[in-house]
Amino acid sequence: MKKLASVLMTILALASGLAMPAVAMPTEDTLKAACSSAQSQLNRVEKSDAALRINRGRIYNETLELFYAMNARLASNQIAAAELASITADFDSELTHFREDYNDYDDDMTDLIEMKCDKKPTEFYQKLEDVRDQRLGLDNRIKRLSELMSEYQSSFKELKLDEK
Amino acid sequence: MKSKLAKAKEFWQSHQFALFVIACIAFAILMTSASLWLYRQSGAMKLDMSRPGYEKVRKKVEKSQDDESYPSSGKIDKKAEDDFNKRLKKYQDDLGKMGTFDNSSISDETLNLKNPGEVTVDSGETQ
Repeated sequence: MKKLASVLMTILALASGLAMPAVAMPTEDTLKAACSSAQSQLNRVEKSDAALRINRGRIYNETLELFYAMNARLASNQIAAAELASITADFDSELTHFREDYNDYDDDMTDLIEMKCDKKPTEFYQKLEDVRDQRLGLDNRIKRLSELMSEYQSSFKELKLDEK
Repeated sequence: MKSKLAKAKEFWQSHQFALFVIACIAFAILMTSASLWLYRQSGAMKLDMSRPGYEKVRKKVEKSQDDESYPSSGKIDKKAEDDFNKRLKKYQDDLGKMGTFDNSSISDETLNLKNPGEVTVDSGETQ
């Protein structure tokens, strides 16, 4: 049964690989012709991302302060909430990683924008792919932070403070 | 015959004010360099909307609307619970309205980096 399952999984994986069309990398001529305007667009995206980073960062900071305040309040009322403390620690850690990842992403984005892309088109595209991966990483971080907020909310409701 | 050191000492003793001014300037340069280094290293520069080029996005930065922070002491009653839930829900709603870091704004299509003749079908696949 296990063997059958692994064979089926292998066939499915191969089939999905064949079904996906190969993504064609732009040619050097295409990159040389379009990279300057691409850099202008990237510059606009970088500026927009900075505002997004500040707005999201402010709310995450306020959320963390809210969690710490509630944890302290629960402790002062002698209500055990180890789960909430654990989620708060995870949130703090994830937020720190988000800030660090954003700094790295922004540095690479700046390098990408300032690069002489008409002279190094292939390097430009490779750097662009790296920046895309970093952006995806940032997106995953904010999804995780949202999940942790929901987890805290659920765990808080489970405390059933009305009954205490 | 006076040594070079003795001559130099004599020169600066007779030009103490000039020495003081040079020392102040050197100290100011050192402190400014240290401040700029910290400004870059700490990441504060990345959040500084007063930089040139950021004029258009300054308006997008929102300020906090919380008048008071949630008290970390006091009894846990219905009012305290409701206040907490209300604040958390507001943060979640505000985050939901904000943009994300998805790659649609830097895709090949958006940046016009597609090869001539490439067609994007409705599913988003390139042919």
